[in-house]
Amino acid sequence: MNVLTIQNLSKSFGKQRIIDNLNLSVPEGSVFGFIGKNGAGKTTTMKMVLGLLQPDNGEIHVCNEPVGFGQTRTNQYIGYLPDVPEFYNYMTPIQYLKLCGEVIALSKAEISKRSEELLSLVGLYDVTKQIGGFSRGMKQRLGIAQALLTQPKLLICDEPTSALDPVGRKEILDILYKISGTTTVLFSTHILSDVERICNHAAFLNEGKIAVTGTLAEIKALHGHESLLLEFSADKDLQLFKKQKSAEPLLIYSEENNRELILHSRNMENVQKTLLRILAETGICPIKIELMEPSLESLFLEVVK
Amino acid sequence: MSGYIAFVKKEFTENMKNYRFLILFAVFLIFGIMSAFLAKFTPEILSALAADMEMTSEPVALDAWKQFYKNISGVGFSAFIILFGSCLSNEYSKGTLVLMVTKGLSRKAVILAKYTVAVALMTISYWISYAATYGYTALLWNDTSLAHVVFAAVSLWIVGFLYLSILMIGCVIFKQTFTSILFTGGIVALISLLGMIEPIAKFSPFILTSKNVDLISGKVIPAEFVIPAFVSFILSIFGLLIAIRLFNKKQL
Amino acid sequence: MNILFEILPFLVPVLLVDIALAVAAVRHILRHPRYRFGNRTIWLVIVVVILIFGPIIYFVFGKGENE
Repeated sequence: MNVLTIQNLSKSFGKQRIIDNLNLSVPEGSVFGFIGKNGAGKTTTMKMVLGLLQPDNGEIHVCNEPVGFGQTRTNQYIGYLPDVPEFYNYMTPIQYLKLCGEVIALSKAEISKRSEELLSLVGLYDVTKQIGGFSRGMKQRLGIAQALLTQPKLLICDEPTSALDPVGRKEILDILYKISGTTTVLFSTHILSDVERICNHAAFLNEGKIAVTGTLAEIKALHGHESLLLEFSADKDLQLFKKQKSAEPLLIYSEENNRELILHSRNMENVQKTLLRILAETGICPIKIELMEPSLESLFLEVVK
Repeated sequence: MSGYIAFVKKEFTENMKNYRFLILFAVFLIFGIMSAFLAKFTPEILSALAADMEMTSEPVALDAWKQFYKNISGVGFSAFIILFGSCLSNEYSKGTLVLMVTKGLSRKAVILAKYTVAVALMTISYWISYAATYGYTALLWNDTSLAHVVFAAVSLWIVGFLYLSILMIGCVIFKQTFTSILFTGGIVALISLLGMIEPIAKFSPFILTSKNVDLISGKVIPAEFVIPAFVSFILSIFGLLIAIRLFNKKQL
Repeated sequence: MNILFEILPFLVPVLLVDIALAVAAVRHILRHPRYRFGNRTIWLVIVVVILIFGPIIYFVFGKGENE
């Protein structure tokens, strides 16, 4: 089942078409990375899912219910963390969560129980100062706590890690990973290592469309080509290797970098067999042979090209 | 419903924390006291300062009420509109409402809660001010000949609802405090102007703010106030509905 | 002069309101170091010296954004 489906979504600001016929579905239970360049339209898409922006075209369904602009009914299934969450500065975290709890009609006992749990989850349990004096990382963590208070089916985070230092990033990612057992998580980002760290699904947004989507393994298999890195001890070895007749097909897709040679291919097994034969025939001993995993980064660059 | 109540609580705390209520309470109380006080003693003070000035006439209790209506309908309500003009623009500019609305708080509840709290604070401040003028008037003059004192006060109070309802529309439309206030001032001025045009003057809420003293002195009868009060009431509700409609389509 | 003594008792409530406002303002100023303009000394003087309007001006215009 899909928690979120977006069909033929379009949105323009003035003459600029930000989202152009976008289709996307987020399966239940996934940790979904929504990847795109800055300004690609990630935030715009998310705001439309939340009913904060009016789409020009298309339909959005959350838990099989249609989303309407200005309406808040579908938002009961969603927890939302904006890129820069803003709270009422004069409140303490506990007071803010109490307000949120009352808004969604939780009982008093439930509010204090969940507040306690969530604040310890995000590490703000014993913080009693007003939110006005919080750092960005603290606000981000409180943002996660308030988003989870509703026990949402879908947690939407807009670039939750991009403004944080490495420690803060790790904390947020750990929290997101921890909750992924109970909640579907959709988060936008341009930091690919974050996606590789915790996501099992991903989609690349480019020029208003979804360029690639699927599970992480699928994406890598579909669009990635594997690479093999060879490092020679001396330049003459490299030149000798390149002169071999049987090496020619390997060199069609390759990069050279000092004494390194990187071979790209969709059929790595053949490459390896050929390579080892050449090395055995010529007696060249490279100092390093490494099979490189297809990275999201190379994929991303390929997609946005 | 639960969202509405929670937000009313939040608005109430907010108005306490940012000193809005304290200021309004002080302003209205002082205006209440000063209305009666200055009406009574200004001639005496002036004649004490300048010996050659003759007192033209002994001040009466009606003078106190003249001051009261002039002050409250002018400065008092202006202070209210200026202070509450930022009630939505602050939330717009900071983006604090986004988290509330995405949690399922209906936009209607936001507007209604803000209006409820503004009206409640207006009511408290207004009647405190009234009580002060009433008490001082009773203390300074032992005059009981005035009629319809309460009724006159109720009619100005009703206009307060209308002004705040107009202010809500202004706050929803404009992202800046200043423009919201300007909008409200403009509409209020328009109502006053329309109130001077003969055929509709009888129905205009403008009467409620301009003839209170005449009512107390007996120049007009309460019956003339009934239709304008009703019109004002209808317009207030209408204004709120417009504010909610506009807010539903507003990008946060 | 006797008129002054006749009048003054009536102004006691006004004075109380002013004191309440001034106390609230002074407390706020001492607890919050940032103002939209001006500095701590200026605001303390304004709040105490200008009766009633001083504190109101501070709360409406001078108070910093962060509560």
